[in-house]
Amino acid sequence: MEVKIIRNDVLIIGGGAAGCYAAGKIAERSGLSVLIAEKANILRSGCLAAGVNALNAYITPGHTPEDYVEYARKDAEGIVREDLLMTLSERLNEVTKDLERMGLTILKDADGNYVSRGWRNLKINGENIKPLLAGYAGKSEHVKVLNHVNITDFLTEKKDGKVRIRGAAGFSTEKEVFYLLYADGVLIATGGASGLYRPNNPGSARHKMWYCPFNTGAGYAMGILAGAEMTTLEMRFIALRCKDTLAPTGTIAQGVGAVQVNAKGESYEETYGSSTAERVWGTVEEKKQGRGPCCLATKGISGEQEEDLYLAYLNMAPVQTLKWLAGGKGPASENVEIDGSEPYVVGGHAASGYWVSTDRETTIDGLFAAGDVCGGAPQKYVTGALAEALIAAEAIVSRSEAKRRKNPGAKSAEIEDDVQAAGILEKYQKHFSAPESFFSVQQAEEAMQKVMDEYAGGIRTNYSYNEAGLAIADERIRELQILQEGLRAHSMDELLQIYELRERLIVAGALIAHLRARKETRWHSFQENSDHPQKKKEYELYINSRMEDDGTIRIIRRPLTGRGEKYEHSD
Amino acid sequence: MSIRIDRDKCVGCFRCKNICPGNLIAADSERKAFLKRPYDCWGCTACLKECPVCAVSLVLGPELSGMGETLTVKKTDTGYIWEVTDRFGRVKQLVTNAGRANAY
Repeated sequence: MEVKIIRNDVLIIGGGAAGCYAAGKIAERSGLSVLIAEKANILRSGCLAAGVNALNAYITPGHTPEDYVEYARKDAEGIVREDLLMTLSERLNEVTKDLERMGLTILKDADGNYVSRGWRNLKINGENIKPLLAGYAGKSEHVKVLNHVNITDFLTEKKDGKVRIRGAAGFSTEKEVFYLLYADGVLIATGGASGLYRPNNPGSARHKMWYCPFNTGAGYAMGILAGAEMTTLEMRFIALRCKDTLAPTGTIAQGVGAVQVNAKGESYEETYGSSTAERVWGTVEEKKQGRGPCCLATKGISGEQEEDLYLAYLNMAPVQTLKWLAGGKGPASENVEIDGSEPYVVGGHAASGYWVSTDRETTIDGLFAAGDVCGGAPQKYVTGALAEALIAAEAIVSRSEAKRRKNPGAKSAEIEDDVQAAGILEKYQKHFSAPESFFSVQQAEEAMQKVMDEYAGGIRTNYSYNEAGLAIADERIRELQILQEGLRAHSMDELLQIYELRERLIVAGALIAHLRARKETRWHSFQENSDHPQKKKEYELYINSRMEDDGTIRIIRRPLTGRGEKYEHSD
Repeated sequence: MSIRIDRDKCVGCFRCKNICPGNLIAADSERKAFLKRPYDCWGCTACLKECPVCAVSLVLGPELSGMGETLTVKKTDTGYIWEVTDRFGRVKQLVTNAGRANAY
């Protein structure tokens, strides 16, 4: 097996929206060399592969960043980092302008003003948003892209009781090559975690899910293993989507003003509340009480509206247009059935992810986070992820400039005899020499999803969980981790699948610890603790965690941070 | 959810293999593209848009209430021409333009 060693000033792990944008910004604002390591190809990788329907985070005239913070804070029942939301909200319009400069089509009126869809959304054609962002990153000579390389572990060192980043290790998804990528500053931007729970659709269509099935929680897992502090993993995200296709519903609800109705045709939203979590919960409750299936009432919309919906979905979730036309029953003649997805861990919608400073630095020195992997700031959507990437990029640039001033001409540390790196490569190699496994990766993955579904609040229990179930889930996940370690790979592709399972199991283990620690129900459906069905005042705090050296997850409770405060890590 | 690659049309350029966000496409022994694990496909259509000869189609399977209906797409200078073939064999064409924002 060949080992390639590459050194750059900055390493960006994950070339999705946040990663590409940060790469371009760092290159624009400094002479630093930047390497993007991407599991697939930055042209279409990540959440935005098919496109996006609208820009859902924008400050329209007459509104302020404070309004956006307040909206996100309320929607998340107060468990947010207001400093992160505020700094992000202040940059939303700046990154939107940037997207337009890259070539994104944003609807404008006759006077040249953006046309909004609601008070914080803009109408766009987002089909090409990912190729545009990839083009922006790739145009700088300082940015290099390593497509088809999967990163699995951070390289760190402990100095004066502090953990510092040195780079990361990974492998090619196609060639027999291992990579050691060294850098002074690292941005983790790998997205959230899907596939932890048994999905809505059966085996043959298991990846027809809402969130990107290739976002397997790699960034969370790497951070957890390296001892980085994580926050609010227990605030899972469950998407209310079109049945079967798991396509977005907002375009229909806001676009043609369709309301949620039960099987009797009754509108039920007002009964349950209108927060993101409550809209899922309402649909779950209606079904539980025998009033499902639930739908968006689209029947009777005009033929023109129907055609517009066909086109809008082609630009973000083409399978929905296919489904409408397949049986000859479009939304004008039949209501669109809706359902909740399986739970995901995703910091772009919920508040789960890395615990960061206001500058988006994690608790590992020199490691920054942006996008879905970064915690504390829900409702960030695409523009919020970009704003976060911008903030992290600025911090990375100023950090390295300060370093250079302090220590001009400093040579990077020698990288021979890297015991930590050797240990990681040895683990890869071990999967190729392991005895033939009786169980496949798929079997182990389905076993994990079954455990999470039944005992950790999946679809089977209408998203609710209790301590007794979590205890079983915790034990089973540990057993599956042992099983995963012994799996045999015959190709790089199989090694990739084994590591994706490893990532999901690590995230699942940490998620269980977080679900256990919040002994209340803060968000219906998202975190529905049936032992403690009420919201409790004493849980107006962050549930954070760190993995100890022995592999156990230690829970850390931290008080809420104020909007105007600048948060820096102190312990 | 899955795609179908027409082996007769495939020219072996492997643009689909290069673009797939799930690393799911490979070359077979005759240098034609094939989907390694159909059950792992997300249905994002990146490969459909990338294929220069329109050899890839998105198929709606029974698990998503489909009966094998298909969607194909062809890139144009201004956007895409999409074609849905429904269960009755009827073809509907839809044209999207990159310069035109969604109505909703």
